[in-house]
Amino acid sequence: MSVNKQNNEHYEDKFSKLYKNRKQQCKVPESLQQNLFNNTTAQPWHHAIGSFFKYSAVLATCAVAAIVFGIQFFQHERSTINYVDIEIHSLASEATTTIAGAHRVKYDNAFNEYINTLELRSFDDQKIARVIEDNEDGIKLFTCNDEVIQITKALLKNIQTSPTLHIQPHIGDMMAMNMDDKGRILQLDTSTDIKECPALAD
Amino acid sequence: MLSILLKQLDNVFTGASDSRNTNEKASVTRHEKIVEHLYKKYADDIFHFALTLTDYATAQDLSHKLWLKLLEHPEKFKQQKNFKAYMFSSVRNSIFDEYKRSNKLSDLTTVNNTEINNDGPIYGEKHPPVHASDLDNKCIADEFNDALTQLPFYQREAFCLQQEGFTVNDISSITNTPPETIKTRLRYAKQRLQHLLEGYHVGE
Repeated sequence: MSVNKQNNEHYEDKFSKLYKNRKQQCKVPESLQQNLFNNTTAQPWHHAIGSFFKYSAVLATCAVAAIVFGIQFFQHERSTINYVDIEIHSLASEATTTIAGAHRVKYDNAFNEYINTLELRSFDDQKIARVIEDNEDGIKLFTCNDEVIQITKALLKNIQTSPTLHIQPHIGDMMAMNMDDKGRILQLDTSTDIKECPALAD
Repeated sequence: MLSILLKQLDNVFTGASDSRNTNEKASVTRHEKIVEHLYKKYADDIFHFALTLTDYATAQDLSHKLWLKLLEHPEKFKQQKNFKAYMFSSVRNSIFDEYKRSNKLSDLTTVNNTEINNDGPIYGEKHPPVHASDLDNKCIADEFNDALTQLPFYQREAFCLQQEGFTVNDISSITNTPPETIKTRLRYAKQRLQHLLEGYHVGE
C-alpha cells in the first residue's frame, strides 16, 4: 500500500515537472500581446463612430441655436425698427440729431413754465408706450401705434423737475404719455395698462 | 443657454471640458493596465490549456478573442469571483463552440463515451485527440507531449486543469461535470500516462 502511495507521489511529482516543462515551451507569441494592446489603444471603430456622432450632435445643436438666436435677433430688430412714424421731443434751444422723416416737437421755455405751474391739467391725447432705448440722445419709446417717440435728455431733465414725470424711466417700462392738442407731453407716468396695448406685452 | 453652449463647445474643442471623457479615458487606461497585468499572469496558462485541447492556430485565435472581449467588455468579467476559473471555463466553451461549428463535437462525445463505458484505460490503444497533431509540430516534441496527446479529450482536459492548480470541485464547475466523473477521468488519465511514460525520466 505504502509502495503504491510512494509510486503515485513519484508520478504526481513527475507529471507536475513534465507539465511545467511543456508549458515553458508553449507560450503565447509576443506578437499576439502587442497586437492585443495596440489594437485597443487605437480607438475601436464603434468608439470612433460614437465620438463622431457626439461631435456632430454638438455642432448640430450649435447650428440650431445660432438659427434660433438669429431669428430672435431679427424679430427683435424688426420690432424696434419697424415703425411708421418717429417724433423727436426736444427743447426749442437744443440741437438734435437729424433723423430722416422725423417729426419734431419743440418745447419752449414758456411751455415748461406753463406746465410746471399748472395744477390741473386736461389732456387731449394719451399714448401707451414702452421704453426701448436709453442713451445719450435721450429715451426712445415705442407706442401702440407703431410710432417711435424720442425725448431728449435736456427735455427729460427739464420736465423731471416738475411733477409731470413721476419716475425715472428704464428700458422695458410701460409709460403713459398724456399730451395736449399740439402733441406735447404734459405728463409722463408709468402704466400697467397692457390690455390697451397688447402689441407691447412681453 | 448661450453660455451653456459655449461651455459645451469649449469642452469639445479644447478638451478641457471633457472631464467626463478624461475620467473615461483614465478608467480605460486603468482597465487596460489591469488586463495587461492579468494577461501577463494568465495568458500562457490559458493559451497552453487551449493548445492542449485544440490545434495551434485555433488556440491562438480563441485565447486572443477572449482577451479582446475582456478589454472591450470589462463589465462581463467584473462579477467573477474566481477569474482564472472563469477564463478557463470561457476558453473551454469557445473550443466547444468551435467544434460545433466544424461538426467535430461528436468526436469528443465518442471519446468520452468510450472512457465512461470502459472499466479502465485502454493501454496501448491510441486515442487520436482532435487536432492534437499540431501539438508536436509547433511547440514541443518530447515523450510526455506524445503521451498527453494520446489521452482521450476529456481525460486530457481534466488532467490539464488539475495541473493548473484547480481542485476536483473547480474542475467539476469549469467543465460542468459531476466531481465523481472528474475523479474517474483523472485516475484514468494518470494511469495511462504512467503506462506511457514508464522508463521516461524528467530531463531526458
